[in-house]
Amino acid sequence: MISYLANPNRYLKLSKIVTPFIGWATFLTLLTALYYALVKSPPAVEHGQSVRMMYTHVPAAWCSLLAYTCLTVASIFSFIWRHPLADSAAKSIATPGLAFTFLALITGSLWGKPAWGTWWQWDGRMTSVLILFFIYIGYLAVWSVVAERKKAARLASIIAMVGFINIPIIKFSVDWWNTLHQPASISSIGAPGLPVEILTPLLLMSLSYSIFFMWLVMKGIEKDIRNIKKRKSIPSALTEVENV
Amino acid sequence: MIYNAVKRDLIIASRSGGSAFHGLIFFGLFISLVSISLGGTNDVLNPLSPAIIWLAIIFSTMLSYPNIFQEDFKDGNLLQLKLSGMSSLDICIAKSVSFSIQSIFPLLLSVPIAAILLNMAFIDIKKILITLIIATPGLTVYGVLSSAIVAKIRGGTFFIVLITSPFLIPLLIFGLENMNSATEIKIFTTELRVLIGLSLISTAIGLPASAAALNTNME
Amino acid sequence: MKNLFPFIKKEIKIEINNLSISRGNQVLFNNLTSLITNHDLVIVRGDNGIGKTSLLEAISGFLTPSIGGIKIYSSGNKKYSNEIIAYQPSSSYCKPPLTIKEDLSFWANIYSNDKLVDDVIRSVELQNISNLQTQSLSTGQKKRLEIAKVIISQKPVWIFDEPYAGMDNNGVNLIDTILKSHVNRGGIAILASHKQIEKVKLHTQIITMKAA
Repeated sequence: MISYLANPNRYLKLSKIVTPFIGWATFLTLLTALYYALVKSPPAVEHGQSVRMMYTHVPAAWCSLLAYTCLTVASIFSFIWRHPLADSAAKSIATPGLAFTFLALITGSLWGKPAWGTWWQWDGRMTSVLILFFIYIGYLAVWSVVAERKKAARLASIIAMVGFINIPIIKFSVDWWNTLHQPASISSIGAPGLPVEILTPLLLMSLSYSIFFMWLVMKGIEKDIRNIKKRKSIPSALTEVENV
Repeated sequence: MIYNAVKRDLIIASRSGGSAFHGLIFFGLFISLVSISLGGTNDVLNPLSPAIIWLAIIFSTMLSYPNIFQEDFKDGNLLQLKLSGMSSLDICIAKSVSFSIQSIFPLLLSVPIAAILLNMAFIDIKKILITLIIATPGLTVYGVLSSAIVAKIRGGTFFIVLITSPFLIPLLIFGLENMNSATEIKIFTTELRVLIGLSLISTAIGLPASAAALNTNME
Repeated sequence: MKNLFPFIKKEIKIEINNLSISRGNQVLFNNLTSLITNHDLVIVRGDNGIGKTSLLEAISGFLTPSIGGIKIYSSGNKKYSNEIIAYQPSSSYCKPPLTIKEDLSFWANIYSNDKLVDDVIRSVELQNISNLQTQSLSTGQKKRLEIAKVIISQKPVWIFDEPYAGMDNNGVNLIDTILKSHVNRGGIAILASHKQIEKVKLHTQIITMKAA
């Protein structure tokens, strides 16, 4: 199926039909999720209504990691098979990924202030997300600086793959560092045994973020493919061979 | 071949008229600026001294990263090395060895002097040197990788710092944590073992990745 | 004096098939086909910026063509470009702090031809300054050093990008003599030049690139 879709024109035709569906799916799931998050779920005991920030923050962080995983898969395809569609996909995944990471940081900060009193905490989770943010920027920097598209795609895929192996290492290191230096005060949201009322909106928001992400990526690939088509195919020189 | 390439790089570095000292001078300046801005008293500086030295080393090395491949890309030496049959991996290995010797080794030699300026205890100086030596492969390979990716782009230093910094963070964390848990007797702490692992992993991933990046930039 | 130009017994063929090269988004040229064998001296002619260097890079294996390909054979066996080709780019790749002898010896060691260093330096008439650092050399002297590197590689195919640029009459004659020796013993030489080359009467093929 992947090689079938590899032809950019075929992808464009498919995308025209599928993308609006995904767009609508995003809209609907987001609506449902927001309803659950803002209306139906109970406010937290200590922190009151501000805990609803969690419903924006956690899915964003989760999506940023999902995006990086997708980016790595696309980069592997791009590197091994030199797939032009994989190149477009990688590029189109990174920008929403960066945006979700940024969103996670901002919402984490906005949540942190009412919940724990500070705008920022150098704890394991927030520090890892900040580092992930810089990794995304480094990745996109390669695309913007290298002039030739194929070279940029390949170099970026190398960075993405090296980054992918490093992310668990960084997370491990930062958690280790955190347990030694920071008092364990931040409640771990991902703990098992969350009551259903909180879990449902969380999962729904995650789902709607993911679908939104898919929509952004597909739109991005479309735009990228249209941009490539502007190649000048008229040669600038004529050659002539004379044997003496 | 690798031996010849390393030898040539070292001869060039030794005749380069002082540019090998740029890293050392930056190291000294960094430590001076930090000490001055923190007040210069021992009670403030002492607990921070390993961190100050580690940061000085990391920034000094990052500043030397662009030079690893930039000149060879620009003057066409890399092309010729490839034409002579040297594989990209060999080129990266040779560069890693010569970079460790010409850039990191002088910095390591200056660490005891910096430690004295910061009034570190002798045992701490030993500890920090051991961790830095173990972290050297990690520091070197990520530099070779980012230099191979950035090639001859103008203003490449910024991108090199941007790309490499996240990868250097685990080395930094475990290097500094080792300072706290290592003692006179217990040299092989958990942190040191992890640091060894990190350096090995970075070499195992970084060298092939650098070779691939070199090939891409020469296509 | 050792023989720097031993006879080449193997039959070498460079097949250029329907070659099309692009730089970035611009297609430089299409449909170039040619066959080059022993004793051939090919001149690639054209104005600055037309794509001569790109063609030479493609033959040397550094530029992947967008269409078509270049196949290299030695006695019928397929070879990679780096086994057969010595490439001299238009600008010098000598290392400034090294002396002529050191710079040449590095490459001689790589090709395991260190015994030829002194003879090669003599053949390009740099023996009087062989201990001078390359940063002090003039353009012509640097070019001679580059030619020395090509000779010491002892490879059968020589590719030069603008070899005559910046050379005085002595230099030009020297290049011609060396090229003659190389081609007569069965070697292949491919030169790019924007000048009218009438001096080198032994060219056997001219590839002309004109603006479309």
